[in-house]
Amino acid sequence: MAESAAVEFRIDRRSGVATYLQIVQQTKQALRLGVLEPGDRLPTAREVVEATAINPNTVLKAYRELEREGLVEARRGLGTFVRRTLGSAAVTTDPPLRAELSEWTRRARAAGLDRDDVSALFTDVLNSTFKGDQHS
Amino acid sequence: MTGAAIEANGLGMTYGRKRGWALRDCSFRLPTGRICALVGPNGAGKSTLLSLAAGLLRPAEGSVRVLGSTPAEARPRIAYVSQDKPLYPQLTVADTLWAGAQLNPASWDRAAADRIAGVLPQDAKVRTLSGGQRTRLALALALGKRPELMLLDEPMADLDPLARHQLMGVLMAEAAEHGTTIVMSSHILTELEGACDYLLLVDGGRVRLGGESDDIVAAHSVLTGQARDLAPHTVVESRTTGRQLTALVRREGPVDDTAWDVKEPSLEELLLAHLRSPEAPALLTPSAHAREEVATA
Amino acid sequence: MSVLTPAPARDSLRGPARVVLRQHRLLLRIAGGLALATLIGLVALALRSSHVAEVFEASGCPVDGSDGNRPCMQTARNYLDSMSFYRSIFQGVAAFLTVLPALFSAFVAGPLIAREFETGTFRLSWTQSVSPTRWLTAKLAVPTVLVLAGTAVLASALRWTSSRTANPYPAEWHSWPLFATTGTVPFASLLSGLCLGTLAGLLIRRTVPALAVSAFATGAVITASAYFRRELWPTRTITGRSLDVRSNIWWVESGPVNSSGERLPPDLCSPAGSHGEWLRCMADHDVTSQYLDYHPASHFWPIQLVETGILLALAALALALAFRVLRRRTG
Repeated sequence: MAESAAVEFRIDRRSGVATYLQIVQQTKQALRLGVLEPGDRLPTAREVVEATAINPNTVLKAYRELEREGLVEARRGLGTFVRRTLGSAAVTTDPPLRAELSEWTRRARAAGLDRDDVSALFTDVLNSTFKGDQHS
Repeated sequence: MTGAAIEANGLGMTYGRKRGWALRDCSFRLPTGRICALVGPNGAGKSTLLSLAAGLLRPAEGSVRVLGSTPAEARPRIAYVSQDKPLYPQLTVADTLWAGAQLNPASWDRAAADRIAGVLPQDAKVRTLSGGQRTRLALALALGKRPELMLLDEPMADLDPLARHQLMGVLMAEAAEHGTTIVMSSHILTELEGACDYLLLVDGGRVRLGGESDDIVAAHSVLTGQARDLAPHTVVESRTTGRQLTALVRREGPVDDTAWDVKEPSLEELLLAHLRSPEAPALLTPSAHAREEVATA
Repeated sequence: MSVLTPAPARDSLRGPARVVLRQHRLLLRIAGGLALATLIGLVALALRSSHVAEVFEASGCPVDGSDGNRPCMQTARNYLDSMSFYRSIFQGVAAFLTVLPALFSAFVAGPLIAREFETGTFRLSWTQSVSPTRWLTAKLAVPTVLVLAGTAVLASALRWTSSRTANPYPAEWHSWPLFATTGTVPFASLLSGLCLGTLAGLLIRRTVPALAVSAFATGAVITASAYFRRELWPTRTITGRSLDVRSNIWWVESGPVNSSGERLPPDLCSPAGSHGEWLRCMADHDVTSQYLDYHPASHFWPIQLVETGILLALAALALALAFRVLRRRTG
């Protein structure tokens, strides 16, 4: 066995999001946050299904998707490894963007919006900005 | 083409003339490497189907082939756990695992069995075990046999949620590592939904739906709109409230989405709709069609 | 796709045989203990009875106490009482061995086979790597070997023991428990019990009814074979005015014969009346001599073998049916 995997997936059956998409999204999230770095090994299908009791083909489908996007690569007999990070530069190493968002959030609060209002507004803008970019 | 784990052709079973047909005219194919949910109401014929595939019963008509041979020939490569989890009551847990090794000398994998039976009190007599512990031991015997096909009749019924999650995880790991085909029956779909990628809906002794769960779901739509003709689509179930019609249909061609609000049904909605409408025609996806002609013996 | 080559028959029987042994460990231990206790008891009894016989011989008293010596009569009576008591114990053990096939049959039908169906464990047994046929073969082979071996030991112990206490109550070769516990008949009876039990267990599939039916059926077979035993080989006949009754024969039937050689009913003339009446009755029916049908001791083996043959044929039939039932039921 190689060293232990760098992430662990949590599957929410009631989220309404397809299971394989949950794995894809959680992997990307980990890449963005720098939890996963190039060279890291993703857990094997066996490890994932043993912990989550989901179908092995679902894991393989998610990994194929990640592979198709060039984020990971399968090395025969060794496992699936991270090839590159994903916008982590913007998330963790771009203070200006973060600062702008913080500033905007503070203004929203001052304008009398509560947490849910801010979140709804943000999601709405997010959705209209990225419309059409979703997975089909 | 991958081989078939189970292939039934005109399969029928009756337990005596008076009791009618437990299973009738079943033709389907389950490709290898799938995790299949065998669902249907109580008394639908699920256990009969599994017993036939396990070679415990001889079909009254038609045939069933397992892993490319007869169920009897495939016996060393199949594991079967029956609904009531029968075990020899006078043996201890350790004795039972020992018996598993004795009865499956060619393939016995002690480590696989211990993975789930390890937590049981080894010196306890089987008759003193709880329902959940018996299930654990029965599944350990099945896993220790290291089969190519596992036929599990209501495997999770006696388990608490934690054990259910753990054992399902072990089964899935087995499938991931060895490509084991697993068939699990249940009358509760949610128990199996995340784990299974293939579906067989048995109802009234017949196979109503068969194939990849994703494909089966994708073939159906829930349409909501003003009441009017649903042609050319096959209506599984429809309900009219005032002027509004809600229908679960099997699409036959493109849906006019200007006239209808179109939504994908959940697997559970789909199954319930089929169970409520016994007249709805059966659907088998291409991979679930039996390849062989019905033997005319 | 890997196709498993079938393991040699011996190997694939060994596993299930071991499992059967462990499953019925308790019963086997009890049965083995009882057999051992019986064996020890028989030997002890043989030693005891030959000691009693020696002591009596040393006393110099005649067996019939005919010298009128009162103490001697008491000694002879005590001796005869002891010997008769010992003989009855041997008869008891022999009788047990004669009904053993019925008990064995009940065990095979009930606890061994029908219980698997009743509790559903056949679904476990038949889905391991061994086929139902091998499962049944192993299941039957283990107890059969043990019970045949046990019977062989006990029957020879019994023969040895009773040879030491033959006097003054010798057992006749054709007597019921003796004939059925010597030669080949006891083994053939056990095998027919085994096979009837197997068939009953597979057909009835419920422990208690299967047990009862097979015990009854095997009991009927044992009784019938004892009843019809004398018919299994042609008798010899002697005719004459007074019959020379040889020792050690099996007396089958005797009666009067008239001058034309016709056999008349044995109870033609009641010997209850006076001798004169009897003579007159015989003369009235023209009785000229008497006949006797009997089996000499030399018929022991022919009768044994014919009976063995019939029992084995029955066993083979039941076993063939049993395996047929099993194969028809499973896929």
